[in-house]
Amino acid sequence: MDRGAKVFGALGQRLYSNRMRRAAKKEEPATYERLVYKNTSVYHYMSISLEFENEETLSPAQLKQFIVNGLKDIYGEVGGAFPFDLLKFDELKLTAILRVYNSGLVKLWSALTLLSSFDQERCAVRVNQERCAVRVNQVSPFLLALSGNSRELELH
Amino acid sequence: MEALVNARLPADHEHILHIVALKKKQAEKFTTAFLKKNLTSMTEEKINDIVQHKAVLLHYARKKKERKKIKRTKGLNAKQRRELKVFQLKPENQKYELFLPLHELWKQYIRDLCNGLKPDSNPQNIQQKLLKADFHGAVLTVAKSKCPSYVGTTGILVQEMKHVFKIITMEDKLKVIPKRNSVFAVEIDGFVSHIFGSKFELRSSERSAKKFKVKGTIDL
Amino acid sequence: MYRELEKCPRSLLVCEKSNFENEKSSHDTHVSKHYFNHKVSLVIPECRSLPPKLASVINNFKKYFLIKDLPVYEFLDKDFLENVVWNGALYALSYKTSIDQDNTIALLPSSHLILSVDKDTYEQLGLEGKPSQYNHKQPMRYVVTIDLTEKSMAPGGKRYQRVLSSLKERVPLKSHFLLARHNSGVEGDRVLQSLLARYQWKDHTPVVRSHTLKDLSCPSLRSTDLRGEQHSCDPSSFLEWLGAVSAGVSCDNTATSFTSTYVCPEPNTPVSQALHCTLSGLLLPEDIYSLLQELRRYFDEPKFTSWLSLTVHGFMDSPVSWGDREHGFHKGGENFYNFVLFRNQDYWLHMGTGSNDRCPP
Repeated sequence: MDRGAKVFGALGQRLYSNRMRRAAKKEEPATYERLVYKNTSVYHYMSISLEFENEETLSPAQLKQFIVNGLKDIYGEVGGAFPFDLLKFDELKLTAILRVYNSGLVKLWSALTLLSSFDQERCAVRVNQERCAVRVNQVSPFLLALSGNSRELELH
Repeated sequence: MEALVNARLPADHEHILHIVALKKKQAEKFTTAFLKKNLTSMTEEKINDIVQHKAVLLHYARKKKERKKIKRTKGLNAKQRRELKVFQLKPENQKYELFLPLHELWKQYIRDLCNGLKPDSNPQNIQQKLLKADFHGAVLTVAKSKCPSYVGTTGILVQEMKHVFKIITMEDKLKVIPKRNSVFAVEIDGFVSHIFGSKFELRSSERSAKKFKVKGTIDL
Repeated sequence: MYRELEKCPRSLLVCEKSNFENEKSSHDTHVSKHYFNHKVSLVIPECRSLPPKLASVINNFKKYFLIKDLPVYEFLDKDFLENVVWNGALYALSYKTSIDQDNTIALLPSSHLILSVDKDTYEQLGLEGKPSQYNHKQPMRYVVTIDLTEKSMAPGGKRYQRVLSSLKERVPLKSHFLLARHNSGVEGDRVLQSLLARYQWKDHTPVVRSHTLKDLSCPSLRSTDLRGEQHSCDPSSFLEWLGAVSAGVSCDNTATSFTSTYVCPEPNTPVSQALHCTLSGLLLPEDIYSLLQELRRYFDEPKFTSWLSLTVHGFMDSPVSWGDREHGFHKGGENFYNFVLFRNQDYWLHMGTGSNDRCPP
């Protein structure tokens, strides 16, 4: 963290408390305040895309179950049990946005990378396995950054 | 045999040799007296021992040749060399043109060494030859270096030392370039070879005897 | 057992609160120092379509050029230096080069040429540079910064010759370039055109997309409460919500939902509609600044909403973020800033960077 930023932060806080004391007027212009947060986000966000050998359709719930199974395969029942959210799933393009706590990022990422087969139906008689791959397009602690991926800029 | 030695001389012989043979007792006395007189360092018993010792070895002994000491011309030692600056190029001799003939000579030498450089020659063979060749007179260019300011320096190699190349540039400047952390390019008749300086830290005389190992990739 | 697996790289978020009319407010430098902007996104609650004034500013964003396989030494051409580089702000950034694996080149409007090159290229290039700040034990990337306004860089000068021979003979670096110019002098245009004519090029205008979002809930914000302590929303959850709106993530989930538990941060107010407008391309800071000025005027007429937001995303593969601060990719390469404008000319500025970036100014 910049030293200057720290100083500014302290100064800002002082200004802030001054401001609090004089909070009588409502539409008074805001005083300068600067805050520096390090690792402020408790989440990391991932934008992923799926690739199947054959054309495949699946629902958001199926996708989530698929990832949960992948996590269990690698980290076991306990290690693989942590919450993550499937924020968005585009069923046509097969792209998704995941949200995971910082502590689970590495585990989720590794599990996604190692996912290689999609079990369509897990039954005792016939296990219909299909090869698939999950591509991690972008990872960021800010969900906002996911909508501004400059690597996707295509010009002709 | 002993009897023969100890026998008296025949009387006629006495006459011919003009000597008078001593009687046996007299002879013995003479011998002991003679030995005693001449071998003063030995006791009587010892002399007796030697006299009793009959075996006499008569072997051939070569005369020891006297070795002539070859006087080696003692050269200058390192300190003297430094003081006299024998291996340093005088500023007035630091001319690129002065070294052009050396470069021509070197080209000739490399062509001879590689049996003539043709476009279809095997580059690997040439490299094998170049590895053992002498580079004095070659035009060296620094192709890569950890220190950016060396990159692009070109000139004729005038002196190779264990850790540095001394080259003279077109601008008549003598540059000392460390071998370590640089890659040099040598061009001859269209063949460009790259020398990894870090692996070349040897005197040129030592290099001719060194076995270079083939390595997949080398970093600076 | 999994302790190592639970670590993650750091990120920085700087939040500022001030007023546009505050003399010391530095919103203009923050905008103008963020050179390479890839996307601008506007969120205006309670708005159905762009007001005409705003639309005209958005449509007046400068066009930019894509030049294929442009050798870098072309920037050092005497004519080009004198008429285009020194005279008027020129922005150039190599296109489709990843900062974490390729050689990336940028020309800043301050006439600094920045070459972010890998180790091998650096060793061959023969130009002084610094190892990148975001190296591991062994430096694998170097940053060469050349100030083109320096005296020794005058055409014909010793250093100029060296740079030219490095880029022309030793390592003929070339790349596709995105190029844009702010002040267009007549002479500068002529020189630029003559450069373009020698290569394959095309001009592009920033792509504008706008759509109206219906029936959503917006977090309530109070301009004096940046931290979100007095019944409003804290910066990171506000940015998360903004991201959710931009990405089209639905907010109506319950806490027990299997797929997603994301909900709009509390407290929030239902909004019948909101305008979401994006621009993408190589966007000049000058244009963004005039957009910001226009947005300030949005509240001149009475509006339902008390705030609106402007987000600017930088290029992930730009070698600099703000000013000449080095930027790296690591795993996201995010560098963006976001203005929240309030009715009384107060503003919040959020600046976010990933792990390979210094703290924003």
